[in-house]
Amino acid sequence: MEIAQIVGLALVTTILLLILRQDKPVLAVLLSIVFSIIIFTVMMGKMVSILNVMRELTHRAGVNYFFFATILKILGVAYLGEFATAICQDAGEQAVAKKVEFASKIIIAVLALPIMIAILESLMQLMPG
Amino acid sequence: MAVLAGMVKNVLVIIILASFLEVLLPEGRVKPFVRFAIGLFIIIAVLNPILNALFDKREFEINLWDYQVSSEQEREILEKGNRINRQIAISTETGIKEKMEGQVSAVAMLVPGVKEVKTSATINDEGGLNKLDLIVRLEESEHLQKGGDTNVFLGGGDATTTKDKKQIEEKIRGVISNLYSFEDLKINVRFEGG
Repeated sequence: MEIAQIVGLALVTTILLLILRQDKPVLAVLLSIVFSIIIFTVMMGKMVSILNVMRELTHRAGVNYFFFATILKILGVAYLGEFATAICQDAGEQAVAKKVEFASKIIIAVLALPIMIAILESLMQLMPG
Repeated sequence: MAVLAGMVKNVLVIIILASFLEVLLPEGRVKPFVRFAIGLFIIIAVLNPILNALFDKREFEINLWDYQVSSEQEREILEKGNRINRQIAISTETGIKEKMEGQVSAVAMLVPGVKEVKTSATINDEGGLNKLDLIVRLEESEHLQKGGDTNVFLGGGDATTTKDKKQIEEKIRGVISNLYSFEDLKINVRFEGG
């Protein structure tokens, strides 16, 4: 049961964080980062199987893999941005958290651009003149 | 009808995919952005097959992101590429080999006493030169031209010829090695007629 392990680890980390935050806030932030990395790494394996199924579905539906890959990249950027924002907010650095959020929004917009262009091109083709 | 059925099936799969992606969305202020991108994905995924059905010409205008190859096509492309690669390698090797043989023969013929040289080059898998085999035909020596019978009876003629041959062989090796900077290359020199 992986969820039991994760819950256990989360509880231990929370207790440690509560103790550390009063005396050593820097160590508390570090512990929080380590916990995030551990969870992210453990979940990566599971994510791969989800992605494989989705890739297969995309292939069967005849959907372009380029678009799907772009969406996956956007999801990845969103998750990473969220993690970083949460860590920065935990450390009390609201300004840095805002900047990370801003950067992830811009990157998502840039990644979505080719899809937008493709839609516009298709629309132009549908309605010439 | 079959086309329509296929399109409906594809739309269903796209909806399932989009719903699943929606579930995977992270909570936070970035969420609307990701939802927008997923919306675009759904539009393009639905629009593309319709456009393909409406405009046949579109199939020929393939964008890079529209280009999909099946594993079978990929294998075929790779096989073709490998075949072309092999052909290019063989033709290049043959050309280089012939040129090299001609050059070496021409250079070896500059050595005094050499009348004709036939060169055979062996090229390794990486396209490098493995060894050179030279068959040398010597010019007839003056004493032989005047009267070779003296040599036969004197018995010293063979020794002189062998010494000359040795010198010519060394000269040929030296000239070729120096000119082409072949230091470790095996150069076999044989004289026509032993």
